[in-house]
Amino acid sequence: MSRKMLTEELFNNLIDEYGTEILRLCYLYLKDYQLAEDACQDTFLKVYSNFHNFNRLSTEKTWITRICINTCKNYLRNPWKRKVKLGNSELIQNEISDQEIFDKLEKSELFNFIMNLKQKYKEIILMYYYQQLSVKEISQILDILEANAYTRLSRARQLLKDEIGGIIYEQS
Amino acid sequence: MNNLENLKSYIDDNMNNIMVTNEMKESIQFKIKNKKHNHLKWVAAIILPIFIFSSLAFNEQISYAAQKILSYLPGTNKIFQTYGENKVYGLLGSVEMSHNESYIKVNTAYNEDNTVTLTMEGNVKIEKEIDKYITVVDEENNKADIISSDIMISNSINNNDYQWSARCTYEFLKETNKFKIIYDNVNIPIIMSELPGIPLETYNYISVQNINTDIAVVTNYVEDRLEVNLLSQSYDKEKSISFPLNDVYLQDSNGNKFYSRDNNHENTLYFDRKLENGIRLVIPYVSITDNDVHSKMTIGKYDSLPLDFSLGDKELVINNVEWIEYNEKFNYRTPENKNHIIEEAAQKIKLTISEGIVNSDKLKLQNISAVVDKEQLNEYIKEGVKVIWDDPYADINSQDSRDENIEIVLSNIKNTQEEVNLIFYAPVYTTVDSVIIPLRP
Repeated sequence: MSRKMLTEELFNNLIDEYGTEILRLCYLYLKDYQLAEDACQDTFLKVYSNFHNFNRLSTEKTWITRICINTCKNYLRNPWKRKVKLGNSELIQNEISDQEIFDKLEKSELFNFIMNLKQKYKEIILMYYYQQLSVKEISQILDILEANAYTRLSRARQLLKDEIGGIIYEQS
Repeated sequence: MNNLENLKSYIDDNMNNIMVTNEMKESIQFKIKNKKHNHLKWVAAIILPIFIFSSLAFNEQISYAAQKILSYLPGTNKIFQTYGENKVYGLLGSVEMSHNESYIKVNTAYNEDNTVTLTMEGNVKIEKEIDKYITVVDEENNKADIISSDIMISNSINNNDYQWSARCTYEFLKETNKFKIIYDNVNIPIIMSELPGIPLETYNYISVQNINTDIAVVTNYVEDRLEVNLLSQSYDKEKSISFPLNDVYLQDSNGNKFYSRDNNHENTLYFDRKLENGIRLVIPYVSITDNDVHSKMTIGKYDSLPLDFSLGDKELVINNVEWIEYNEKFNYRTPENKNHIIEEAAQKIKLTISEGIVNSDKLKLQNISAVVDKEQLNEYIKEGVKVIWDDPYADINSQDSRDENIEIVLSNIKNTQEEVNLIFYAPVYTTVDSVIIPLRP
């Protein structure tokens, strides 16, 4: 299978097309703008370095999202990243107030519940409803069977319904 | 926002000041240029000799070309062996046909002689008898017979989330690489490309008899790393194979082990090594899931233990059954927004299962799935709506084990049940012996 060369123009197009969505996804994952910006930059650096490995059996969006999610998970796992962030936080004149943005977002009860779901349910809801990826694409990103992705997604929906709308599912 | 369908617009509207700026783009490009500069030194010092070395090795490979030819379709993790007689065709990429919100997407397609296997997904109406809705014809409009199908449908057709995925095998009159998929007068033309063949001899390939599986390894240098693709083909179609990627290692002729630096979770590993004489890939064990076997059993509170049962070829023993009473709690909110807390007595059972002593196929049971007859589970009906209870134990219902015993917890059982009807299915086995594959230097 021929693999496309990543020219500067193509790379810029990738950032233009997916950058903002990836940055916002990082932000939703990390809830910290500085970390999100770092994670977004790291994601695109990895995209650049590994583009020759991209086999085009998935879409560019799926592939980039997969890198993004792994990068965010590493950030969450890595205490050093968190520590560096805390150390620098006083020095950075942050124009973006995390508190302000999340206060605004969390006005929605549904959004609140999504953010409070367990990580694996939160991420599948964000991928399906925010990134609008198909279940097949999500299964590729999470490296799980499609059947498991379906189950996880419906379980996540069910948890949300339990919290929000009462437990109203199927007419008996 | 009170609807998940509005999540995208809700987030985008509230995060409209979070966007990739020119400064951020410049920062990424600056980091890339720095990296590239350093990288060139590596290319000169390390990659070029490796590249020359691998080019020489490749020439040797051609001269050793044997009759057995391996082809593979990246992403399917499937090996095709042709011995040079038949060509192997596959769909490179995916094909989608959509109209408004409706779509059918063909994700993979490949042939084996005169059969073609397709994996598809969509949200147009189908039922379990997919051939009533989808027809496949060759270039001369001869209808292909469906010889196997595996279809998964989520939600009912009236639900907005209705979606299905299917894996179907069709038999054509003769070998073909061009055909059409027809749904309700809509034609989806499919053209598969010939897959490149890789000659094999005694390297990079092994047939593992006790699991009836072939494993092949395709290597490649990517920048300064050795990329190793693991491909597997079980000759029993209902069995799926997986590898413990983090435990796979290279071993040189002195016995030194080298673990991968990274993997893509899809059976591609990256090593900081180069191929050399005597180097081997060691897979400590291979996992096999048997999707075709199940076993029914009734277990009562007062049954004497142990209980023997068979699952496929395996003899298994339930050594212990623990019945535990507990209360299920959940919130219930009426359409009028009134909250109720519901609490119901329930039971769960904890099963401890091990293998019987008669198994001698060098396979070890690692995991097993089980369900309780749904009639014996708690079901909550309130005010004309059916409550579907979320199982808090779902994530720990069964535990993978490299030990002797497997523990399964099944919950949400009615507290009046004195016995339960169980179905055991999808056992996962691991090979006891390592699989060792010599790699061509």
